[in-house]
Amino acid sequence: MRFTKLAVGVVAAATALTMSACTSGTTSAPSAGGKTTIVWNMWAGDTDAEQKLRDQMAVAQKLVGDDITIELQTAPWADYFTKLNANMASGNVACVTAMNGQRLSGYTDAFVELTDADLAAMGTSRDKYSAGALAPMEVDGKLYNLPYDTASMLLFYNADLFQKAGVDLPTNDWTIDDFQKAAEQITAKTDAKGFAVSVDEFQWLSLPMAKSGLQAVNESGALDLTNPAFVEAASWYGDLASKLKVSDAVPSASDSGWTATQFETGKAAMIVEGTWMVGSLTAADLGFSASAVRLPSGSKGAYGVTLGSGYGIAKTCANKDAALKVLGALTGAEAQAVVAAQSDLPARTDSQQAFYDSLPEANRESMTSAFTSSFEGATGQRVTDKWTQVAEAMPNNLVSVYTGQMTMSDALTDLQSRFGG
Amino acid sequence: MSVAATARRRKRVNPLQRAERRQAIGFISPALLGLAVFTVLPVGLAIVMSVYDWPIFGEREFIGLGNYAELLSKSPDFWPSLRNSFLFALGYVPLNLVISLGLALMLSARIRGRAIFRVLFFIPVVTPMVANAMVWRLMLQPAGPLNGISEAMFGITLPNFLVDKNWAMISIIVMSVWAGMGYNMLIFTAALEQVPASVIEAAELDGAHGFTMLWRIVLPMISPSVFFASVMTIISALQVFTQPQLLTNGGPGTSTVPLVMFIYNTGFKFHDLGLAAAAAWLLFAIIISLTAVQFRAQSRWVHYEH
Repeated sequence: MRFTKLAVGVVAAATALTMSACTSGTTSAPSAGGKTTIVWNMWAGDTDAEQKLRDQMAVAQKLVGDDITIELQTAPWADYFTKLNANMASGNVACVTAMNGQRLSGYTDAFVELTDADLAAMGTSRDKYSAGALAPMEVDGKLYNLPYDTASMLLFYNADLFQKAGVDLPTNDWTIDDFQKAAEQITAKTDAKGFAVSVDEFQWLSLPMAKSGLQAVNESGALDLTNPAFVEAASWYGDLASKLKVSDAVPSASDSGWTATQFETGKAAMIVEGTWMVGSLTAADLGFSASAVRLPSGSKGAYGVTLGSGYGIAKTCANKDAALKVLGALTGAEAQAVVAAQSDLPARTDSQQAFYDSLPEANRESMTSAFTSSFEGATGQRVTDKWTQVAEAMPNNLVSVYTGQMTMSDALTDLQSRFGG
Repeated sequence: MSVAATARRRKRVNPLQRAERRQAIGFISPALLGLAVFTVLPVGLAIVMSVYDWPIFGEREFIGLGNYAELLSKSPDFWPSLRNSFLFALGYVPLNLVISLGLALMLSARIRGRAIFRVLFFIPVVTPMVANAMVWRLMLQPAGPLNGISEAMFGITLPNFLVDKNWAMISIIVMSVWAGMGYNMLIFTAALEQVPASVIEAAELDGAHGFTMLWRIVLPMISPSVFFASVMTIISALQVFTQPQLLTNGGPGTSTVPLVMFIYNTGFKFHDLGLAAAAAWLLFAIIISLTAVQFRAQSRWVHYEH
């Protein structure tokens, strides 16, 4: 009996100890000698990506001085938000936390609002950013993050496959019809497919959006996947794989990297990807000549959205002043120059030229015009509170559309009924 | 001496025993501490969470059995995921038990190189499930070797296994059986080695051979191991997560989302920890009830005599 009581006592004591430990989580730790450590949480899929971040961090570390130590913590993109959720549940969000524009609406509770005074304290201001770059970082007119890049979607193409099929190379004035004809010709005349469809949110949404001139979320902020014009455009996109066969079907809903791999291995002549992929998708070592143009336009003209990612300060951060310093350094001109050299388009206008200058000379001119035309008149992307759920559920329905086992209309109606309410 | 007096005397503990008990507590306290921190606390917290509207951040609100009611009546994905878990278990458990028992029986005969075969069949158990699933994903793709061989040799294009609504679950079951059969095979092998040769000889003298020998003699003799394997396999089947997560991401649609993936998505992707905790408790209730039923039913077919 006594033995049992003792055992229960040990268990209870340990439980109490852990519970008290749970509530005392801290996100910035003052260490010996008055130094503060600020944790910077960011996604990175491999050692190359992490090294790029370390290069940015080295610049930022010099700027903030010795009193603050920046500590980088990373997780791959696919796990980043799950890890962030777990950190939030335990009240342990890193002081400086990366956020993606499409996901921000679900995470505003985790970040402090950045006021103009905060921006001034960091030595920056809104007018330092290129048009549309701040929009993905705002929800209901409040700024929660400072962007490190600004992005849009492009049509990447394999010039060798175009030449092989005897098809003229894409231009920034291409229409959806031009795109479809080229995809069909390349599929017919080469071993490769003309296009590779995708299951990722803007990688697949971009062409239906360009064709219909509509977003998946309407101007009043409601999910609008069943808008007849959007359904028609999306059905056309699904048919590229299921009926026209100018693309293979995505082999698994869990294979989100499939589309880029199809392009990189020369199995697909065109894909839609983000501007942030320009480094790897036009790399010299791909074995073929690759470039990119603006998304083809639909009957209502060109239509694209600006996307982007940035860093914010956690509400639970114990040392906001130090975090502001780090945030200012990580998004400042010096770090942005490093971002530019790493083939990502910086959000600050004054750093963007460095990015264009860093492009390989062979296609610098064409890429620069692709970028500038993509951002011309681009609208801010719209999302709903449940956008993360929508984006998570999309691939599972899309894979069935591409194999022809489900109509696009049914797939979108299902998503609308689950997440539209 | 009366019975009561005997009981009193038995209860009296001498100083030596008391000292030993104190030492025992000292020895098991690390294990108890681990139990408390990693089992009792999370389980207790999960009970509390399941009766709260508990978002990942923000205000928490007590809602009683609201989460359970939502799961059972409103949540569009709960029932399909429960159905998927049972579908998986229905396919996986019998296949796993039959194949692993078959392998164990084949390798119990004194054939050359049986140790090598045992190791080969056991390898998938020790390789990480993530690695197994990735290899199978590559293999089952239309551009993978399976379809390549079929097209080259027979001119037949195989279905797109991981996104076909009829094949996705079957693919997951087949992959899981391949990955898990080695474990049960090892248990059955050990049990078969324990069957006394004298019993088999006696049965042979009585005219038992082949299927009769297996059904009437061998299976009853190893029934405690079969019982253990079936209990553990059903539990692991209802907890399946990694294979569908990596092979199909639960697709196409929600046709391969098992209950554990529903719990994971609800809690860590969609931020509703309360609802996820309630679903976890329902899963726990289902597993514990099924296990209890199996334990009750064991008296009908499990023989511990030998």
